[in-house]
Amino acid sequence: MLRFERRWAHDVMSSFAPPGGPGLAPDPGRVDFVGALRTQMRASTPLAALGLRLAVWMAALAPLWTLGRLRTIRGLRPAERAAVLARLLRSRLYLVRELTLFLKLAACFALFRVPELRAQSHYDPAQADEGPPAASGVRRRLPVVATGGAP
Amino acid sequence: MTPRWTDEADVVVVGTGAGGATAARVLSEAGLEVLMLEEGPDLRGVERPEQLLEALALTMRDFGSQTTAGPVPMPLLQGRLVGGSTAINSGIVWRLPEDVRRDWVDRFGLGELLEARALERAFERIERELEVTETPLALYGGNNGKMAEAAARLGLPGKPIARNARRCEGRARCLQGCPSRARQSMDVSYVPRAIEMGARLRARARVERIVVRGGRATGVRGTLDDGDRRVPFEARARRAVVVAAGALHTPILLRRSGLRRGVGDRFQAHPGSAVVGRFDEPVVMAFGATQGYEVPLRERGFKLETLALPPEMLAARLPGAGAEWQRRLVELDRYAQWCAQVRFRALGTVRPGWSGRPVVRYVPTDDDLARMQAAIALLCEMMFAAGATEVFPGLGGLPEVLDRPEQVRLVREARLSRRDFHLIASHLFGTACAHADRAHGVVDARLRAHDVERLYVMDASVFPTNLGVNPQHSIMAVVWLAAERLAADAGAMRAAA
Repeated sequence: MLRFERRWAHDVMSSFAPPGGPGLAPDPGRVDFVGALRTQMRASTPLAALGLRLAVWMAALAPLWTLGRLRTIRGLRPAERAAVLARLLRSRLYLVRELTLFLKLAACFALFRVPELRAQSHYDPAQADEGPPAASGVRRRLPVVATGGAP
Repeated sequence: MTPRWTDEADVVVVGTGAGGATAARVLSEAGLEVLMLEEGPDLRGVERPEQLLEALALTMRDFGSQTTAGPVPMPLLQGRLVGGSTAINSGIVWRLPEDVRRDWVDRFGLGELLEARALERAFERIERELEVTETPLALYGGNNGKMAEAAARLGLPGKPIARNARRCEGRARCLQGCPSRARQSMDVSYVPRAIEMGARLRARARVERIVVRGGRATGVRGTLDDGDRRVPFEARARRAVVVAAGALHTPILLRRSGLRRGVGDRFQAHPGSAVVGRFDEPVVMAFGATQGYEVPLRERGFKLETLALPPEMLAARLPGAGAEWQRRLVELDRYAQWCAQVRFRALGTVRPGWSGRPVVRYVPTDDDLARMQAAIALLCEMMFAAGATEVFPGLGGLPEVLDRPEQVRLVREARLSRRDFHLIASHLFGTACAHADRAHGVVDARLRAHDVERLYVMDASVFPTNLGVNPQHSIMAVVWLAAERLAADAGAMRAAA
């Protein structure tokens, strides 16, 4: 990716969960969005890598073709950026919808590499030794603790 | 190009997934010298990365970006490491359904291979060796437990999934690689067992061609990935070459080696799609068997099962961007995800593309999509029955969020096109179809190539049809029986020599 494409990629990917928003609102400087995208592109097929690159262009220039405003996504306020991305994710055009989803997934790869963000998500059980809540009607037991080495 | 690394064995096995590892295990036990070649890395004894990005880049072929061709691509997931896809799946065990076995015997002439008692013996042996057990209640966690509740409330035939993971600790990380080595994927079971019995393993060895001389397979050629350079190699096979590179890459290798007739012609799959539900109480997808509960409805053409996702994928699956999405991201413990695997009837093709990668042409039929839609609607209904307050059907052209059970009707009755579905497939079949009649099959009832002597195909490519259930166990049992025959043939060859 060229330098301006990397900047666009950062702008787009950080706009899914912009700073100052409710819930998970990371400081974009703490998340390596571009690094995650590049890892994904390197490991993907050439066509998929091209698709990701195309997705960055499409989303970065979306204000032009969705709002009719002569600017890139960087020129919008954070909430406006997110609104544009949400609109792309709901697009009736399959390619637009899917390419934006591709970028959203890449942004998630980057977000959850940051341990504090993962902790904030409450995805992992709060305390491993306490065990998670069992579904109602199912007898609750603690997770099995390994006592031997790997088989 | 002159090979800079050479080796020789009685049997050269290409691929170390369910088929290749089982063949290597049986042939080694029979006293044959076996060389296993694997394109991907050998991560045995290595802690795999917990971060999904790094784990997928290391173990998943093309990061999961391999897709069907055409304007609406479908991702086709395969592992690329020692153990193949068994090292990234959930270890689900299903025996070959009897109706499928009979169909293969009647229509494809595979009775010689699939004698019912022999097949049962192979299944029992594998189940014993891989310690197959049903998922215990203690490992249901919220994701599996909610599906069990829903099945009970709606009177559906749900049951715990049988897996080869008796010592599972419920860490829900099957996709990244079981951190406690509890799942008996091939990298921790049959590959090491074959090595104990004398087999050799060479990882990062990409086989590019089968060497055929005088109508017989005599070895393979390829390149070793030696870090910063590629080294050509040749492995000679005294008795046989076994190809087990999976339903996408086996036909490519066969075609590259001069086999054409029927190769890559009957591609089939079990595409899947997922539904997410939000609950007011914690579900904690991060604890429990990744896939521990299922509702098999083969008579309707589909099977419903739980599937815990890593946080990255779960977050991407939640709707929207900005504030709405961000609020959801701090309560990822509230979500459950279940999926539908549908036995599609569509037939496709696999051919090498200009870059040598497989080009898969596969268009679902209207009937396939109708069954997928019915399966998704039932999953939505089950989510509400389990107490979900919001359900995300993941279908285009419909509301992203359903918040009332009555809205399931929208899913059931919508007029949807292929573009409205998010399909993904990991069970792939049929591209080197077994058939007793040379005119209709690539391999015969012993999985020997019709057109080249001493060449065998032993993976899901040989399955004449898809199954409607998870295929790993069936691949292993069918290969077990074929490998026993091969060992017997090789013994006879040796005696004759």
